[in-house]
Amino acid sequence: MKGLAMVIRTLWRQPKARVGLLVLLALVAMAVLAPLISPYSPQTATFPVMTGPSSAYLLGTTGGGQDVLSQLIYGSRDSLIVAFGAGALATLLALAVGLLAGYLAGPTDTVLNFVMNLLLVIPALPLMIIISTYSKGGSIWTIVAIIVLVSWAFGGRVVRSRVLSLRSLDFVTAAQFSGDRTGRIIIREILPNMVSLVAAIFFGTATAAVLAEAGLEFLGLGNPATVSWGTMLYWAQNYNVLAQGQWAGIFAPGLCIALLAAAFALLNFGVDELSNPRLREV
Amino acid sequence: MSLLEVRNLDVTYRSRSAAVLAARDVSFDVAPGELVALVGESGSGKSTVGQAITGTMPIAAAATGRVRFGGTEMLGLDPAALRRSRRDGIALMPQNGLNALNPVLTIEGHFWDVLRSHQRIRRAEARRTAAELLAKVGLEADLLRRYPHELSGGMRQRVCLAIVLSLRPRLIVFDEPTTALDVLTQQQVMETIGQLQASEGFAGLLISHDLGMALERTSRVLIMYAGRIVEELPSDRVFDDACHPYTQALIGCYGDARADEVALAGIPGSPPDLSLGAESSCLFAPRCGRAAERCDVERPLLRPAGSGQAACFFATETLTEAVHAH
Amino acid sequence: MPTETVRAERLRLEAVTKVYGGRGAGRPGGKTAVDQVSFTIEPGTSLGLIGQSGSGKSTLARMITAIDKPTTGVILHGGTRVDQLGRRELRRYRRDVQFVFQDPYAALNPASRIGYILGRPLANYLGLRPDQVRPQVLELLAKVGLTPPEQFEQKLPHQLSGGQRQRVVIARALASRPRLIVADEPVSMLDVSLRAGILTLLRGLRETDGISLLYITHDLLSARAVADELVVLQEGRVVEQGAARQVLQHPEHEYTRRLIDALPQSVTRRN
Repeated sequence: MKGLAMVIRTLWRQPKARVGLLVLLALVAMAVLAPLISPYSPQTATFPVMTGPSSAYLLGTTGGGQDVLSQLIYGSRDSLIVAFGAGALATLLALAVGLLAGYLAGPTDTVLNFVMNLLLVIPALPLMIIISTYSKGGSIWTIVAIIVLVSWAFGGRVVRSRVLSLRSLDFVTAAQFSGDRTGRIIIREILPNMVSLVAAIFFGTATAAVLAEAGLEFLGLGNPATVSWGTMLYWAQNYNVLAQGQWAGIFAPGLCIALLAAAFALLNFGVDELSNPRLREV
Repeated sequence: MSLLEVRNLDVTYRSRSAAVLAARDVSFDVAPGELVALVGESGSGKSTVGQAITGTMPIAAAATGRVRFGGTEMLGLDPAALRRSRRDGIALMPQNGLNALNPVLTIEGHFWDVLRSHQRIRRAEARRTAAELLAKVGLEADLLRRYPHELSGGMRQRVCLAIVLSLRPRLIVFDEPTTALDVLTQQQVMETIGQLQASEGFAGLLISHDLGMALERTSRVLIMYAGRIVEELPSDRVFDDACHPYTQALIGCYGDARADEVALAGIPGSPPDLSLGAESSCLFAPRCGRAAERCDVERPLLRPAGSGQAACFFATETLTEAVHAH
Repeated sequence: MPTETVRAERLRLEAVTKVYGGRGAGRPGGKTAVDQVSFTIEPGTSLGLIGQSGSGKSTLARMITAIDKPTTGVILHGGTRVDQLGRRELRRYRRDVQFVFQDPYAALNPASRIGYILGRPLANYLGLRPDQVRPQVLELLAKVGLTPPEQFEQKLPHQLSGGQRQRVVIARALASRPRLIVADEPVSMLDVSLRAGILTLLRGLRETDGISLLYITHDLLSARAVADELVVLQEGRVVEQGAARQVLQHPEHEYTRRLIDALPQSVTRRN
């Protein structure tokens, strides 16, 4: 926990990361407080169809008669779940596999490395589309799983090479001479020297996950019955809202997706300071 | 007329939290064909001076003062002029060949890169020139086909020397040229440098932390401490005539391995913090055996003493006198 | 806590050979890094292993610290066959034979505090509980001259100078109460003015704790100052060995003579 506080303090000091953190917190607040701030329920489809912004419906209504603003507010939940969920799971998987492959070397490494290379060679987007086609109509966690499957290998390879180079450093040998066991060495010697790498993998994956989820749902491969920014885009496209002049129906969810992705990207800029203890205030 | 004139050189490194004054009021000359040693330990500012002279300072560093080479002011030179100055001018020989050479280029590739960036030349002619240069440093021409990692440390340093020679420099700054090498290889590299100096006639500034090695082929030595030059004297007079307490203490750290009893001495304490701005005292005083009250409130200036100059109020005793007196 | 004199063991190398690649000693295609090296370190003495790069000294260090095994030959520590250690015996051996690294900037984990670094061997080898560890850490820091110890305990490596870091490295080596310390160029990356302090510390361990010292270096001067005996290596073979003073004043082998000639003369003339 002390580590987490330190991470946040360090990020706060970087101007770009600070902006990213604030935007992210705002969106998280929006998701958490949705029942309190949303004017209507996002599912209620009894409003006048395809109206522009007005005092009753601040962002207008959709082609199905739902309030855009309410959908926008509740839709943040799915996007955040995917961003944090896929980001965290992919990062953990990349860490676990990369650490084992890099530190244990030998046959373990040969096998794991092969698996990672295999996954990297297969093009991500077509793979996602194919899998989604079969799992259409599942929950948001299906999308999370698909994104994790496709994106963990990249981080895994990067972790592996970092571990390989750390492993040959004197202080790792020194830890062995001090009698530490392999598990402790991996966690206390190798891992702390990879903090910024792990953070970068997390933020990078989260960014990609947000965009991947929106993309899959826009293509209709998500569950169109749920409310998320991506499905909002899907339905807006279906109802051809631009031609009808209801620009808010596309603009609003699009902007939010971009904001969330940008927030993670900005946070990534602040990660460099984490990697160098010299730059942190103790 | 000096080839290199350095006057009042100050170099400051700025970071978010501190400003480190790494070189303070450094002034010295190098005459054509002269090999001068710049000796100091970590934090003495010797590498900083080398970087300022060759225009290779990092972005965080700012230099003021004068660095006049062959009549041209080198500080603040615009990038194009700086690049042109690298030929027939000042060249830098780096510390570690493994870092300085590109691992994916053959030795010939390195020469090709350097030669054609300063002149119009055909590949075949470049190859011939490269072979000649390698011969000058005592290496075979078939090394051209090798990669840096295939060569020993000593060979890499000599390759770097040959590449530097291709620029026809009038002054070479040797930045710790033998630090990463064994004693026998060091000797070999230094011998090569000495021979080339005699045949090619370039001047040199030898930057080193090793006083013993630095005195061997140089005519003059400048001792640096905490960013300043504290003593300057002829290399062959150092042992007998050094009169600054730091120089004497440094000499005392060496010993004769063949003596009956060998006990090594160090210098107690540690170098001062250079981020505290310009000082008004002697920075060596806390570690000095001869320090008096005056040393804490007044900064000693470089003044003629012994065979050269020294920055000490009490630079009247030489080492032999000090040994007999105490 | 009173200093106990540790009963050091004799370290003995007999015809140790290491061949990389190829298919064993003498077969074509291999590179012989160490060739029939034999020497002995009597308990409580210090031996200087002199070698330039390519001499095989690092390979020997790895074999003596049981990271590598010799291709042929025997390494004995007391009665233990170092070249044939099983898992449990290896742990025991690591407690008895410790290592001081060359590069003070790489030997300490930049993300770990000094107190943690020193605590590991105390916990692992002496079985100390967390509340017992701290006083021992402070004592180790004081022993290597890092005072006041409380100040150093909390620091991160980058807050220490090179000389201070090397003292921490030595303190870590001392933590398990070893019988033999193998030091690989422990001062070559330090300023000349700092070397004497570290070397005095290493040499002093003989007198205070009876620990044997294997000092590996290319520098004859520091070896002479620290070691009782010298062994000179050239390309994997021993070319000369004997009492330190004897080897330096009356070298027998031409290679030793060359090394001695390469020592700087200009700062060491004595009237």
